[in-house]
Amino acid sequence: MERVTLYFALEQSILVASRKVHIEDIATIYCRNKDFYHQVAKLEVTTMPDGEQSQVVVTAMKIIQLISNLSDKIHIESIGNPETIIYYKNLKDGSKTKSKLKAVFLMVLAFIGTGYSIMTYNEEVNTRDLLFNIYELFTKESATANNIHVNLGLIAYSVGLTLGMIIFFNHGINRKNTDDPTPLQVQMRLYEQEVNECIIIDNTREKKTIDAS
Amino acid sequence: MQADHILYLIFCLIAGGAISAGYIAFITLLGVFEKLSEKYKTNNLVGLLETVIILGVTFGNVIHLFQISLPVKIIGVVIYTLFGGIFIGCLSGALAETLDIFPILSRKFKVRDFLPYVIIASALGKGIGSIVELIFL
Repeated sequence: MERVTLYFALEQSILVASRKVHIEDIATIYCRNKDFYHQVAKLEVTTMPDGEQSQVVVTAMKIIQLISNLSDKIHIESIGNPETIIYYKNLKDGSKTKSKLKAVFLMVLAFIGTGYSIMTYNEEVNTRDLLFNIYELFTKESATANNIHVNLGLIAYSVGLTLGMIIFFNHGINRKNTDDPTPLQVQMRLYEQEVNECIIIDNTREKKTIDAS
Repeated sequence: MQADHILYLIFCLIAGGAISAGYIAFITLLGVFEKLSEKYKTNNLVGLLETVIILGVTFGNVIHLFQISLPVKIIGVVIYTLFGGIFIGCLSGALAETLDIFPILSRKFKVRDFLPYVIIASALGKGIGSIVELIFL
């Protein structure tokens, strides 16, 4: 009988909510034979360790082993990543409140921390005196703290500060989904990839990956 | 209001824009927030985080530049400076990491296993140094 080709592509990393992980959770599969497709999709890869959250690395080799144990009539092609990281997160109510608290902490840190560090910058370069000097340079009048025009300049500086950030983050009111992702999003994805690579290398070195045997 | 006043205003506006864009680029490059939010698995909050950063910088800049006194008592000051300190600590840690100080040192001295202690020691050093500088000098 003719052999059927089955293609599968492993994701780079995936977040699962249930402890039993099947092949369909971590890879996209294509096979012309629907029977094989459904059998393979339901194959169990691993059971995640218990706990609030955990991660395991599974190699494509393991998936190939699992599928070839099923039947000799399948020709397997892996076209995705050679390894994948499965993150497991226990989505109980307790952990939800916890992650909300963490998010609130992060927001407070972002608000106060950035404000504090812009203050240190202003203090360091002495922005107030600098703007006063620039006022004298422009108008040939001496600048005093109570002068309305000098203070208008300080307001203009503050408005410019906010506008600059809105432009940098591409964060205006008319933001669309088709626009480029913001620099922060790009950096986040880059960092996520680096973390994934690091986890894969560490797990491979310590031989903790779920590999073919 | 004369022409030179208006020129001055335009100058200030553009100066502020340039400085804040540079400041945000610096923070984004150092990767303080992406590391924190990866740690806390709050990746879906990027938009909100950006808004909060913009508000925070605006608020801090305005109260510093116009020397506004807020009725927050000592507890407000303590909270503000505490979070300010945490952020500056993150910033200096991220700067050290961007410059690859720890990977280079650990390869050179072969101290991979002791790296957590090195980091704790540098954090303690920063804290003690800050106390000595601010209080005793």
